[in-house]
This record gives sequence, structure tokens and C-alpha cells, in this order.
Amino acid sequence: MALLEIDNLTVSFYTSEGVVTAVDDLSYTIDAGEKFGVVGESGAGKSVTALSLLRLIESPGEIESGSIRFCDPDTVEELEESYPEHVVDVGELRRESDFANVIERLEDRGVSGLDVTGNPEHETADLPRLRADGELGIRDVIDQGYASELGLIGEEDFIVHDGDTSYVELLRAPEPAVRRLRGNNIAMIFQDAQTALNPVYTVGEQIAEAIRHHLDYGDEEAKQRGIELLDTVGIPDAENRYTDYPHEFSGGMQQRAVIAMALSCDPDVIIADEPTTALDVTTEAKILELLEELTDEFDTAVQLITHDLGVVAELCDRVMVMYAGQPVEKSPVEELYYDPKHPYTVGLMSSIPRIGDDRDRLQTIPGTMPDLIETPSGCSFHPRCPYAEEICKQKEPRLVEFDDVESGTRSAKCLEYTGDLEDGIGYTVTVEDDHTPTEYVSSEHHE
Amino acid sequence: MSLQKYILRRVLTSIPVLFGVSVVTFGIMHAAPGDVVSQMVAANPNVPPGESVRLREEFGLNDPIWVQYLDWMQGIFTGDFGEVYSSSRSADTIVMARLPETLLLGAFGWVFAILIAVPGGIYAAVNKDELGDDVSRFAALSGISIPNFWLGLMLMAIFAVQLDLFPTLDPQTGLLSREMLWWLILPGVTIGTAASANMMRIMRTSMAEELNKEYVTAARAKGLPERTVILKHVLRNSLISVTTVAAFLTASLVSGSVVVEVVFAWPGLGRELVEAIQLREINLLMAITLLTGAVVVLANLLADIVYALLDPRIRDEY
Ligand code: SF4
Repeated sequence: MALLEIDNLTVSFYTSEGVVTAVDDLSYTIDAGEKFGVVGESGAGKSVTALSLLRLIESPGEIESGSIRFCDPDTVEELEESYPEHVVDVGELRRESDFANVIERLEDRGVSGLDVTGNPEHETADLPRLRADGELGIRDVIDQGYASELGLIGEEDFIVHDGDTSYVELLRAPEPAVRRLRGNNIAMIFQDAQTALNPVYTVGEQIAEAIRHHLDYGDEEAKQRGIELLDTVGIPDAENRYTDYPHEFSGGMQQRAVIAMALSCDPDVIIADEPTTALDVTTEAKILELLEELTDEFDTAVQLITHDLGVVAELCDRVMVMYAGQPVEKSPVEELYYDPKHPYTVGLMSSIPRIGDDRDRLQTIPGTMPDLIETPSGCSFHPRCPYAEEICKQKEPRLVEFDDVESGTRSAKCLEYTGDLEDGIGYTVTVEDDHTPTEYVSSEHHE
Repeated sequence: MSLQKYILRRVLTSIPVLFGVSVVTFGIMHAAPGDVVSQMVAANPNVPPGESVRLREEFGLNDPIWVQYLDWMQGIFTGDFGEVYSSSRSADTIVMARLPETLLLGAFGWVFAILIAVPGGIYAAVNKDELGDDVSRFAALSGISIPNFWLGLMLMAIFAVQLDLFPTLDPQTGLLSREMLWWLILPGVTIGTAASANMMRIMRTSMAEELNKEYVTAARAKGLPERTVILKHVLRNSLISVTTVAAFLTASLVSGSVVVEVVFAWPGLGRELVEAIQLREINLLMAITLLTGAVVVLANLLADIVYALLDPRIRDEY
């Protein structure tokens, strides 16, 4: 099991103009120690995704459905000790419940294969078939949140045990339990350090408070650790700077301090939300380097959110490209660069700035992100897609998996891959490695 | 610049302000019809006709106004605030005798205002747009709109007269005696209500604004309990703008005390002030005005210091 598994997450905002579905049926996983990039223009739902992981979506926003599973054995064990009454034993359920009956009741509710396995290819599959194929088990029913609806488990049962694996379902966990994970297991680096730091408390105090709270350190110990952390993130004269206020730090130092804050309780995963947008290019490079170095050193997984594919290339192992609240392409970073599968990804790539190129980055994809109250019909990218055809306005593409990839899986959400396009998508990717350009021509024509 | 230097500068700049206040008050008193002698004569019809001429001469009321002002000013620099003609006592004796009562009333009003406004504002901001917020907003609006004297009379009618919980008359005991403090409650609440309502509104607004800032999300993302997030991170930032308003409200508290003291027959400076105006006792009036001005200046200074304590960015500017 991955460290973090997000399944069918949907987050909506109830605004006066209508319901905005900021994140729509999103699924992805992050392994322990992995660097995972989430890319897209602003408004693609990246930050909402990040805050959902911490369950910090505030009114008028609401996490409508889905599952966020966190699986760090030590943490699960600790929580289990505090909440013994909220533990589900899947093995026991498997033995005691009548699964055929569960499936029947699911069908009665009109639950589709996609709903309960999260796999787009199961959209139209019938449930007994999936079960017979071993694609659907009781774990899926629990993970997708149907188990409590069906009365198999309690409303608040959030710790799940299945043989050797165990995990915490964040979306069902009580607030105090989530609070124990925030900052401690899942930490966040905010976009703009200047606004993320409280102006009236010293930088040191803002690092130390989390240490005292989560790790039960005394004042002196917490201070010592705070100073060490500041030193680790490269603040010179950390001992003295510890008592500085945020406004006495430069922008780059503030961002370093925020990184120190995120690292303070040695988390399992750090969510970095555009950690360098507020900084100049030189500082940006240094901060990214620092982030990479430290997360490698502490073996911390990272979810890096950015609009800049260049930043992803530098830091990440895998990447998910988001458009209008949905993933349009998931891929290992290398493959994505050599062979982007989705037209939007291609658009983003041609907007990576190069030295000596001062084109406005976002101009290269004509148009803007649709307003999410009325997402375009069919493929939500069609108004901007250079390869859009009539069918794209009608049929919503599904994420299609590619199996031919050596490292990990890839998927893209374009009708091209379900054979629905007449003309196919054609673009050329030029990769310049060591100044010897090689050309790669992608699916010029659809046979 | 250090805080000490800043304070010194503020004290020095307050001198012209106080000077201006004294000139204006002096001018207005002289522009008003009648003087202390005519009021004395009116109160006592047995005064022989020649006497008022003699008295005016004795009190120096026939001198040109600027001479009178300079005379008064000269007195101030030697610590002499002049005579209260109708009772032949010096103005500063009267002021000093009444000052503690008024300070006590003001302090009570202040404490009451803060005790209501800060928790009320926090509650309203945290439960924004919910029932509790609506209730507190209604309460705040009422508190601001209800005139002092009416509130005072109502409180007195209900709690002192009808329910007989509080005395209606001066118990004539020492200032800090139990009876006196008990008697203080109604006028104190009356005077604190408007200030409290104003402050609560500011507290709510500024807290609601702070709650939207990213450092709040960041604090929550650290896993701190909501109580810590609100009472540590948000509160201190919200208090910054409340402090500014609080200083400003001191002036209204001072003016409110005049009405309240009259309504409750509280033996303070406010009542003395009304009497001074009625009797055209210019020296007494000037002494009270100057003192009031000094209090307001002091309140602003205090606010600035609190401001600097709350916000390190301000501290650096001094
Ligand atoms: S489905 Fe159509 S509109 Fe959407 S990305 Fe593919 S070609 Fe473009």
C-alpha cells in the first residue's frame, strides 16, 4: 500500500454564483519517500487538493466524497491505541459478512463499478463480474465509503486493519485525530512564506510550538531543535536569528523558515504548494535544491504543487497534470517529457520558459481555465484544445492506462486513447539533450 | 528611535494640543452670555446692586480677555488653578477631591467594556454569520444606539428602584468600601456599554479579517488545537486594531461620564463640570477640561505603547 492514497476525491464550494466543483473525482497515490508533482494552471484545483489532505477545507468548501487513506504503520498503531473503538478488522468482516448480499445492495443503490473500485475502466462493468474477476473486494467497499452507508462498519470507524496492512481513513477520522497528523505526519509548505508566518510571533516560536505540541518537548529542548532546524535550512547565525520576527527575514529566508517549520516534526509527507512562486529565480533554484536535499535526507515524501513543469522536472519522480479539477495525465516524469500524451500537457510544456525566451508563459495555451460552475460538456479542455473535434464536446474521455511503460503506470484522459478521434492528435516534441536535438513524433495519425 | 524617546516626543507634542484646548474653552466660556457674578446675583437676589460691580472688579472680569487668559496661564505655571468664586475654594482642591471617584467610574467602565467586548467579539467572529453572531451584532448595535442617560435611567428604574438590588443614593462611605463599589456597578455598566458595543464590533471585524489570513491556515496545518490558533495566533493580531479604537473611545468614555454622573448623582468630576458651566466658574471648568485633555492624551500614548508591545513591526519603527 502506498503511503497516501487518494480515491475519487470530490470537493465543492457553495458560492453565491453556484456550486464550484474544484476537485472532481480525483485519485492518486504517493509512495513513502516519493516526490510527486501536481501540475496545472491556477484554478485547476491543486491547492484545494492540498488542503483536502489536511482536511482544512473551509466553508463554503466541502469535501463531498472520496477517500484519503494514510498508511504509516507507526502512526496507525498510535492512533489505534487512542481510538480502540474505531478500528475495523477487514479479515473479520470478510469472514462474517455476506459479500454477495453486499454487492446486491450496492447494485440496488445504482453504484457503478467505477464508483466502487475507482478504476475508470470499470465504469460499465457489472459488480458480480468484477467480484468474480477478483477486481472487487470488501476493502474496496470500505475504501470508497460504502461500508458505513451499508452498516458494515460504524460511521466513525476510521482505522482499518487488513492482515498486515493498516491505514487511517482521514475523511472519517475525528477532528482531534486529524489534528495529530497535521504538522506531525503531513506537513505543509505554503505558497507565500510572508503571509504564512504570523507577523507578531518570532520565527523561532512558530517553529517550536509545533515541536512542543506534537513531540512533547520542553521549552528548552524545543528551542534547541528549532535552532538546529534553522541551521539545517541554511539560516546563518541561527541561534540569534531564532528570536527574529518574520519581517526581519528576507523573502528567501522566510521560505527557508517555513520549510524548517514543515520539517520540524519529521513528517512522512510534505505538501509544498507552489513553494517558490513568491521568490526570484536564483532564490527559487536554491530553495528547490534545499527542499530536494532535505526530503531525501529525511526520506520524506513530497507532493509538489506547481504550475511550472520545469520545477517538476527538477524535483519529482512522478507527476499528475490537472485541468479543471480533474487529472488529465499521470506519468513518471521522464516519460512525460519525452512523450506527453495529453494535449494540455503539451501546451504546458511549450510554456516552460527558457533562458532568452521572454514570452508570456500562459499565453501559449490560448484561452483560460473554464469557470468551474459550468464546466464545458464532454472533455472540459475542448474549448482550448487545438485537436478538439465534434465528439470532444459530447463525450467525456476517461483516464486510459498505458501498460507499455517501463517505470510505473501512465494514463491520460483524451478521447484519442479510446479511439474516438477521427484525425487524432499530432504534435512534435523536440528534446534537446546536450545540445543534440532529437525529434520525437507522437501519434501523428490515428489509424 | 527608542520607545523612551518616542514617549518623550509624544508628551511634548501634547503640550500644544492642551494649549489649544485651553484657548478654545476659555474663548467659548467668555462668548457665552453671563458670567460668574451674574449667576451669583441671580441665585441670591439680596445682593446689593453695587456689589456685582465690585465683585467683577475683584475677580478681574473687567480686564480684556487676553489679559484674563494670561493671568490664568501664569497661575497654571505656578501650580495655581485659580479660585472657585462662589465657594471661595481653589479649583485644584475640588478637582483633586473629585478625581478619584471619576477615575474609579471610568476604570470600571473600561474593564466592563473590555470584559464584554473581547470575548464577545471573539465569539462573534468565530461563529460568523451564525445565530450567536447575529445576537451579538444586535446587542452591539443596541449598545451603540441607546443613549447613555436613557440606559442609566432604565437600569436605575429596574435594578435599583423596582428590584431594589442596588442603592440609589450615595452610601457616603469611603471610596473603596463595599457599599461604594456596589453602588458603582450601575453607573459603571451604563458608561461601559457604548464603549463595549463599539469595541465588540471592531473586535469582530478585525478578528474575522484575521481569520481569513494564511497564517491561520498555516497554524492549523501545524496541528495546533483550535483554541491555540484563535487565542494565540489570531487574538493578538486582532487586538492591534482594537487598541487604536480603544484609545479613541476613551474620549467618549470621558464625555459619557458627565451624563452618567448626573443621572446617578455620582460625586465625580463630570457633575462638577456641569455645575461649573452653570455657575460660569471658569477656573474650575478650565481645570477639569485640561485634566480631561491630559487623560485623553495619556490614553493615546498608552495605546501606542500597547500597540508596540503587540506588534513587533511597529516596535521597529520607533
Ligand atoms: S478529448 Fe478532444 S478536446 Fe479533449 S484533449 Fe483530447 S482531443 Fe482535446
